[in-house]
Amino acid sequence: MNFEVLIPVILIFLIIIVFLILASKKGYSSKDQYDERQLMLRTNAYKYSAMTMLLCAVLYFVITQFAERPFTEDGVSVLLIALAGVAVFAIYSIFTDSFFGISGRRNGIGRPVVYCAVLAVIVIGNGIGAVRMFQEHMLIQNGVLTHNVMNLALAILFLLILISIGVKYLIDKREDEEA
Amino acid sequence: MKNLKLKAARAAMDMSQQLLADAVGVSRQTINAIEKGDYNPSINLCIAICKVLGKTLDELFWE
Repeated sequence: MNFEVLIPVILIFLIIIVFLILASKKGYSSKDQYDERQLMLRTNAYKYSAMTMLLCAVLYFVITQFAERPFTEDGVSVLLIALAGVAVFAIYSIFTDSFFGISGRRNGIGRPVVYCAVLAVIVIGNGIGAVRMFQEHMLIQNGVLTHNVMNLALAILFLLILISIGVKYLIDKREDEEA
Repeated sequence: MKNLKLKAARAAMDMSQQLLADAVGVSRQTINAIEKGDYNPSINLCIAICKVLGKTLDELFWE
């Protein structure tokens, strides 16, 4: 039995179960999560995210046509393109205030503070993994970007989201003082 | 175009943007966007705002 794979999988299941238990408690409603303006902006976010992924895919295709050999392992490029799309969606949603929704901003498990704490844990975990991969020279092998780059990619993605939330918080705080 | 009538009506009732947003069921940034003229609310939202502020549609949203 491969415990190196089993333990993270069990941990992920436990996190999902805890999340579901918290979500089932009173006070968290998914009915009116986003108002009409936020729904419209999230539609735009999906659009820009899809356009980003398409652009990255085309760029990757063009580059590989001129490259002597693939420069990523199978599936790595697809995952990186998907993460780019997720980043665009999240950052656009955050800066247009359509990320957290209406009720999720002030109470329930959607509280930005709780969310940021979870993000920080993910960034630190993946960051540690990325540093270890870098030290053991496992990111690039024989000139090919390996799947081990996912730790680094996830750490960067969630760090960008965390920074965006922080910047947006400061902007909102300044607007609150002026209003 | 900015909606100064809405801002004035809200101020007359001594309501913050957050209070008004909570009363009509939207986010504070949506109220802010409506007042700044960055967003045109739906008719349902306009009616909800008018009910809370005790004004008519003409008084708040007609130019």
